[in-house]
Amino acid sequence: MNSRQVSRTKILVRYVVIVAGIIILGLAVPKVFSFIGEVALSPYHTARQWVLNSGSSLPQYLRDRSVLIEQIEDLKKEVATEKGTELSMRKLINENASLRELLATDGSDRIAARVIARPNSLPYDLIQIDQGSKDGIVRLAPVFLGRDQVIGYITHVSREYSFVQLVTTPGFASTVFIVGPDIYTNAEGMGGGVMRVRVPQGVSLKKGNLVLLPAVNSGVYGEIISVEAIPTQPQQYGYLSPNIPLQSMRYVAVGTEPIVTPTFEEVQNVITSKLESLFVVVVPEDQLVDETSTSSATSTEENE
Amino acid sequence: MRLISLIFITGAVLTGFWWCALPAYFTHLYVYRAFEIPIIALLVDAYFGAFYTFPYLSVVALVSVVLFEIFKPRLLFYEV
Repeated sequence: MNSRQVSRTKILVRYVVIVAGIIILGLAVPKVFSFIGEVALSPYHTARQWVLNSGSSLPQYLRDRSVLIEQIEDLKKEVATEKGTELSMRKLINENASLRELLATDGSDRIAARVIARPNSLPYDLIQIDQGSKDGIVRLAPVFLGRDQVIGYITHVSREYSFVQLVTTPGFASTVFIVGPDIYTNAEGMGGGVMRVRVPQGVSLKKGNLVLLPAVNSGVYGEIISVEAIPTQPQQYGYLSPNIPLQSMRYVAVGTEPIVTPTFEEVQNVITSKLESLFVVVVPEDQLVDETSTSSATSTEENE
Repeated sequence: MRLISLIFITGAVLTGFWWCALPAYFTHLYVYRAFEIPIIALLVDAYFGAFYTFPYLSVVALVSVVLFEIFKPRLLFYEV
């Protein structure tokens, strides 16, 4: 080995030691490193937001061009049938309803947030939302889809945006309760919005069994969508996913308090209350008739 | 050219275009002595809050740079 090669090897070893030291330091003080990353990549974030969400002419043009080309025929039809206004109204009403549904929770406060990036456009299995620490988002807060469907937790918060770690990330383990066989078991993330539970063959696992995540108060994940049971194997697999695919998520609700891992007794209380409320449907006040309703008195007595 | 390649790789990784990022990344590693790549990976990991769990990109970048430094002399037709 000549002196040049020795010098190169020394440089490489020093470099590896320095970078490995930085990584270890980063693991020790993740908050500081995340702040540095946020500052260093703020031009990228600003540019991305400008392109994706800005109302300026150029990004709107760039954003809409491809979509418009695909939708020209549809738009022509809409204009011809004068349904444009009606469709816009319906879209706004649906959006309004979904936002109201997100915020109508059972007691705990929620913050509605828009999904700005999904796992297919990020290097990690995360979701990026448009609410950050300035909006009250805190690290480790649960993230819900709809009213009480838990999809993950806040893993990193910056001032203007946050990242959500999904419970379906490959290797992510969680304790679940399966309604039907009424058992606690462990679930593992499979990626792509799918979780898997592994139970012995004797357990009556069926499609449609509701699955609760008892670690989060009021947490439901979804239902078993497929069961894989091979008679020669000692275990069977159940696959579950939320009713809305990851790629279709537009809004989520974020809890205002971080998740605190409960004890088993607390988990049992959550499960009991959840099962008791399974048959309770939230009915609008003007549609619900009960003893508190105000209406004119009627009688079955015959008038003479 | 090196800077353009670096910006392209960073952009492709940030937006999840792996099919673009990986060929450009390995080409960059082959052509240059890419000691800057793990530093960029550290920043990207920091941006995504990966230091709260595990910074996979940084580790993979560091390992790949080291492996390329070790094996590149055997792949080149001429000594750099």
